Amino acid sequence: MRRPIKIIPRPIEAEARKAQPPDLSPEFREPPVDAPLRFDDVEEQVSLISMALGSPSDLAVRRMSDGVVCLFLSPLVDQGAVRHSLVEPLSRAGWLELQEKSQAARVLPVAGLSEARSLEAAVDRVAEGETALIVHGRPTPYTLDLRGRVARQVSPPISEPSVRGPRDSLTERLSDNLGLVRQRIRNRNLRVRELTVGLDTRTRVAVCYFEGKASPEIANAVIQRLSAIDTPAVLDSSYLMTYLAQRTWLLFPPAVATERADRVCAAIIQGRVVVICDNSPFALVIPIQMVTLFQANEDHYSLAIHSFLLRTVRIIGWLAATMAPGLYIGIASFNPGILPAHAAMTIAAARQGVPYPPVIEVLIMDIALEMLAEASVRLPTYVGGAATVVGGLILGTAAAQAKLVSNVMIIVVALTAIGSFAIPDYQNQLSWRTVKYLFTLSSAFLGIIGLTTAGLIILVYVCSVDVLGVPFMSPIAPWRWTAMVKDVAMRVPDPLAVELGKQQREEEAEGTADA
Amino acid sequence: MREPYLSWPEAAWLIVQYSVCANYLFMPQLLYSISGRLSWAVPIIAIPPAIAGAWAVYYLHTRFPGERLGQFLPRLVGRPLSIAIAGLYILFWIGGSVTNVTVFAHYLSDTILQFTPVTVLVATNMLIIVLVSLSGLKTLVRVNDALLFIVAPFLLFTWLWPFVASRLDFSNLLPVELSELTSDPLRVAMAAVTMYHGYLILLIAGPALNPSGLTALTAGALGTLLSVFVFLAFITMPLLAFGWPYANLLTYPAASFLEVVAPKTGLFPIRRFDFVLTVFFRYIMIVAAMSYFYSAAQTMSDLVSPAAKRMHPWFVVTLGIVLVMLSTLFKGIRTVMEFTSMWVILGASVAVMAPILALVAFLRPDAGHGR
Repeated sequence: MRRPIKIIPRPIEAEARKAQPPDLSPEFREPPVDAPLRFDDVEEQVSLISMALGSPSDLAVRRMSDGVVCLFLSPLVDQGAVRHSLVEPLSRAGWLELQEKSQAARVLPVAGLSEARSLEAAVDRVAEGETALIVHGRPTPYTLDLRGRVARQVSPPISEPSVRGPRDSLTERLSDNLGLVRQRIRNRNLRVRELTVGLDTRTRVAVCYFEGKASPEIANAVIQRLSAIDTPAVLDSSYLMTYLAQRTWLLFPPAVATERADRVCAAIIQGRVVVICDNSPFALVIPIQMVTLFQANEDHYSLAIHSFLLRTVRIIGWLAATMAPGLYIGIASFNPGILPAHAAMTIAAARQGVPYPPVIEVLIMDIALEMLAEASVRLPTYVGGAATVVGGLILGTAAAQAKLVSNVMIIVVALTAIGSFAIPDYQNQLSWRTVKYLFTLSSAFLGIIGLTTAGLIILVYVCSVDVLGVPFMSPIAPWRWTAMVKDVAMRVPDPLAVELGKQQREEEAEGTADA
Repeated sequence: MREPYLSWPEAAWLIVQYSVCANYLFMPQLLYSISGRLSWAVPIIAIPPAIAGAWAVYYLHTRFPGERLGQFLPRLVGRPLSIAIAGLYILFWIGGSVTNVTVFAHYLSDTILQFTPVTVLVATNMLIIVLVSLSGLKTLVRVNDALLFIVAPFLLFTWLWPFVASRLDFSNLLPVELSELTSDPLRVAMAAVTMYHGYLILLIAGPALNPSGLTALTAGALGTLLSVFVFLAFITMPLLAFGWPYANLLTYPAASFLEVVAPKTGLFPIRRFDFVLTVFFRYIMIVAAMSYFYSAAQTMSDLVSPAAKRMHPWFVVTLGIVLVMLSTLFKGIRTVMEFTSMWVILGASVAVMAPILALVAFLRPDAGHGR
């Protein structure tokens, strides 16, 4: 629901009697030269638009010539463009030459010239950053897109750095981001659909996909779901995540949020849909599967065998990050017999003098680790380093020496932290850091059997999730063997991947036909 | 069923796990007690009736392609008889679910978690089962798919490792004395018929098959044949390793098999290797228990409300609670094992019922109409 703006032009009967209203018919005759020209209709439109916007101090009203006024919010408009596209052309033309849109289009060298349907529409467009051009004799203004604003330059990605690969990342400006995509995918089949979401913020959102590769159902579903959003504010692309997934409570992100332009393009080429939101440097890639969250774009810039190694390391890191504390509790409290005798003795000896059961020990250290991670993200870079040293080294060592926690526990926590940092996607990291507590508590309840129980519960959950009709656990469950061979644990070399890709599309087509 | 999503390999894998389930725990000892040394032949003898059963289920599936057992049964045999027959299947499935969950809870309570009450362990397992059933068959199939990557390597290991780790003597299978099979033919027949009952899941999952039709037969036959290897391993390996009658001396469930597979470190059952095996066994158990529970719940729901798209969540939760309460009737692993003898009779009955239903469907070609 858009907020209604009621603008009703006031009838100026006395004035109308004095001066004839402009005749827009083709037989319109120019008034006598000696008659004084009045532009009350222009002034009234200016005043109505200004009032509708609350007479803001940054509203610029420029009288270009007699009967022609332009009106815009100065922070949102490129002043250079105003000068070049409005001031200069209008110095050579008057209101008479702007009565028809075709005439105006000849006079004004602007691509985005349109006629507002009503004054209300004109007010909305001015609020969105367009420029209103009010012309004497016209019931509604023209609007021109001369938007320009302070924006960050394209810079290397901060949250997804890589050793190899392109160094440009998305910015907060939608047009720049679309430019980065179009520079890479110079193909006529690249589709961009722009929408406005957020009742109050009226944020521009672009949906990008590759015609012929992306599923039309999925692309349409994304557009429909975005169109149906009725939230007042969309300040970042992350606001759109739950609306796209259509699940209120999510444990894992249904979309990858990436600031890498190359990753955005790779996703589009793979047939996914990308949602780029104005004012956000993170694009959303949807639909995704669990395995996607463990892939980094750099995998595709390395040799296949190297990417296999890196992915294996990530999987080990993920296992360590989620299960190490639970495994420690299970072994120390319930099932020491699973370890060789001397290893079990070492753990028992290390725990001597520690006053708590292993689960309390784990929770203390895990929460300390969470605080440290949170502090290092929030603090300025130069203080963050110091906090890490204090937290990681001094607190950890002191806690072990004071026998508040065991030495083995410090190793477990370090392993957990390193493992979680090996998970590529930050949202995914957070999800698994949350799941870790389920594993920890289940393990405290039933030892290693509890750990496997928690594993099964999580497995049931992820198996039950579909993102826009695509199973979240695919291609592992349900099985999609070609996709699994192509790009899950290992990435096959590109020529082979192309062949497998064809085979995969055929399989999918057959599957659809069968269904 | 709105969309078919179950491919034949997935269905075959579901059938394998559905067949193996708790059978691996009690079937070796049961067979040793009724057919002695020649127990190893029973998994082979059981193949033809299983294939016949798979064909019967396939026929029913082709006659009623979009319907589950509880939906087509009333039109096939009439309302009163359908309640009786479906009740038999429901009893079998509920029995299977309770057996799987309880036997494993007792097993854990006796070995790894000696201080945890059995009811807590049963409730924990039931929680997972109820969660899956609430999510639906699609989730069950996916969980089953995902467990392939854990269970299949384990099954392969149990097949291959004894050849490396144990002294297997094939002469232990000899001499072949048919009198061992004929001493108690009814029980042997019932065990054989029950052994590969996994294809029965298609009475519930059939409408999800993609494509429908012959896929049901392919999945049923392949799943059954793959299960043969598993049962051969469980039943034959102890005989090969220890000979007769020593294989039957360890009366604890699956004990003789564990003895074959595990390294010779003694201290049974609290042993590192047993622990790992137990964890793996649990995955098989849980998938089977999920499938049994889901089948029972879905059939009950279909009988009451054939057009309902989903089972009512509270009904599923209540059934889960009832099963936990039922499990308290089993006072120890021995009681569970005794119950399995009864469950085998139920299994044989429902396995025989499938061809009978197929025959009725064949004789009543008009029974498919009218839905």
